Amino acid sequence: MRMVKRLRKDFLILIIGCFLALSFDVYSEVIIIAPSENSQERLQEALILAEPGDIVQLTSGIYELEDSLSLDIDSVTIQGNGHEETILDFSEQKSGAQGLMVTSDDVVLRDFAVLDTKGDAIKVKGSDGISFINIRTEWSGGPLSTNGAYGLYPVESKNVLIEGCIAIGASDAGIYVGQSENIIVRNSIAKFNVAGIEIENSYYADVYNNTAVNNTGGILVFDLPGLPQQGGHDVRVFDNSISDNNTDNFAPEGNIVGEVPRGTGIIIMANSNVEIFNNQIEDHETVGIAVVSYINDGDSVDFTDSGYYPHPKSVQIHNNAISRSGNNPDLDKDIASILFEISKGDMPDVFWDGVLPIKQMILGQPEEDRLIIKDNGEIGFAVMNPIRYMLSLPNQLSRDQSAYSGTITPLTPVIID
Amino acid sequence: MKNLLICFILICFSSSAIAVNDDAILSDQTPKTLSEFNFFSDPLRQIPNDDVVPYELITSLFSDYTDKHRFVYLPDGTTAKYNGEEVFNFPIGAALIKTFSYQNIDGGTLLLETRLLLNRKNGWDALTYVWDIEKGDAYLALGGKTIEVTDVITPSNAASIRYRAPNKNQCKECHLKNDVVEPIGPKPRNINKAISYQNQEMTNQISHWTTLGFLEEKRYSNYLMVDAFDQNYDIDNRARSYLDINCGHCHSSEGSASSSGLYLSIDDEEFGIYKKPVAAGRGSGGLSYSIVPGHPEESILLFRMLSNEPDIMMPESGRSLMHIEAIDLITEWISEMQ
Repeated sequence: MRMVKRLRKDFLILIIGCFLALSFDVYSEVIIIAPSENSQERLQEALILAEPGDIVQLTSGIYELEDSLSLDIDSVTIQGNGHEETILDFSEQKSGAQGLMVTSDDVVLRDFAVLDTKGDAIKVKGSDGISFINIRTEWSGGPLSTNGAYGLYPVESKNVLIEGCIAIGASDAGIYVGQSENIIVRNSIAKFNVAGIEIENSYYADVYNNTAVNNTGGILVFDLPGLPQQGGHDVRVFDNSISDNNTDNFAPEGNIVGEVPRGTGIIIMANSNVEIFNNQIEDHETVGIAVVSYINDGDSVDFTDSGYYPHPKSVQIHNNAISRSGNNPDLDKDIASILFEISKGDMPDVFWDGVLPIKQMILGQPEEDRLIIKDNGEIGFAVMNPIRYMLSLPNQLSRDQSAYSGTITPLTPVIID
Repeated sequence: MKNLLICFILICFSSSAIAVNDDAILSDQTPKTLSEFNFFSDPLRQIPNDDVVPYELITSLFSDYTDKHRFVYLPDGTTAKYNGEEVFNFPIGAALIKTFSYQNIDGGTLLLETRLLLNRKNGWDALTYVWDIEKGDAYLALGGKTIEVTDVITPSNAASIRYRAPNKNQCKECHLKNDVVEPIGPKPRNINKAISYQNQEMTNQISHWTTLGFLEEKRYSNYLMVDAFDQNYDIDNRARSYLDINCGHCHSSEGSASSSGLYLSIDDEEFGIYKKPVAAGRGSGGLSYSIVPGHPEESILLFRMLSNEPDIMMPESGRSLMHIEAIDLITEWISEMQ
């Protein structure tokens, strides 16, 4: 009996010992920071001295910051008490091109807000494993061209998760993922930005269950020339609510999003393998969905970039509800004014500019590259004939959808490593 | 006997005072004060120890018109190796030391900070020490420091300067190359210049480094790096030299500005002519291209040099004043471009 008791006691000690040893490994340090006179130095030093596995916990309150913050340690979590409770306020920012910059891997940012930065709110560059969870980025003065360009801005990164975030007032894109790979953007809200959500020069992205409302353009899937990573492909946009993106374009001139017409739901430009489905797209003053090539503006020199393909390819648009498009198009922008002209004011819900390599415009497109438009209910559709348009010949526009009813080949879901 | 003892003590004392503290360079425990490294025999006058060699660059990075005092230290018996056109491969234990200062209006020197690049076992470490002149030492500032400077002489005639000593991460903004911290200045093309050592006659630095055994042989760059503000040189060489040292470390395919697609090193053949902005935001200034030949007023590159606003100005960090002479240089260069 005594023997058994003793064994049991030893066993218990062993268990407790194991638990302690484990907890040492698993529970790393929590560094608690509160707003103070020298928030800047304290917070920045904490971000420099953090060890992998640490949590930098920001208590509730307003942190007044004058310079940008940065994190370059792997496996660190920066967390607040909620995006209404923990506020990083950059309205008096004196230096730094963004509010917070992250350049390390396996980083989690959650439950805080970044307000009124001079440039971008949160930029993440070259990170493998970056999660933004319940983060808010906002310019509190409303949509102004003096606002910073991007809210949430991961670039050249892999395994990017944006979940439950809110992006308001960016003068370029609220949520912008550039030159990245393996991306999920979900359950987030983008409003009063020029572009709500933009996936640019990126591979394998799933954008779903988001709300894009009151931007200039709701969701953009773009590929641009002259960048280290180009040839954007495999992007799925589904189950999103995209409506009333009718805010006047307030992007500073010279930027590509400056060309987005007010009142656009989705634009797909020069990407391959794009699947747009199950979205609710309504009340856009220019067009619900536009599928377009990257075209240099008239005064520019041709892009000499090699290996860049300027035309969209293998785009599938199905099972969307698209309604009330084009009743007040933004005629200051080329896409809108050309469409208005050739449609004689009868604007479609879905538009393809029809621009392809010359050979394909004459002889036709390879079957697997063709646009598919299917099961979207009663929608207005239009495709331009660019050759007839250039030569001012009649029949510049076709509204016949039947030529685009191929078989849907679903893209595979994104899995974040 | 007594004299001998005094001699012995003196030698011990003097050698311990003069020798650079190799342990401090290599240790994981970064010293809190600059004096622990023993780089200087007279820190306030920036007189280095015998083992610590001053050097200069042909054209240097603009840092709000500060004067820069640069020094290199290599552990005894070690050499740096050539790495083509890139920064020399320095041995473990090497240190690059750079002190930033202004001239006071009363003629004195205002020391601001001393930045160190230490080549430790796991690679280069970037640190800065901010000066407390009354205490005669500089103190480690991992989080950086803002120094409000007044009563100094600069060509800008600014009444006050909000000088920023960079935090450790800001050091990396410029010094990261392929995710690894590297020096920027000590490349063959940048140090191919004669300077005066301890008031001796002028000697080319590559020759001198070879004489000292820092380099095994003399080798020169294929690129002509010139003093950007020496009117005797061709405007194109001057401008490309300026952009190389001021912009090229970030604006390269391996640097912090890789995602911009705008590359400005001296060996980049496309350097922004009719290059469209990508994610510049307000930095584009409503203009369409980085450089429009013949039209400085339409060139984003110049627009961003002409701004002091955080989201517009270039470089993004490291200055709060405009570099007037460089603005003139780049304006002239773009104007004359065909």
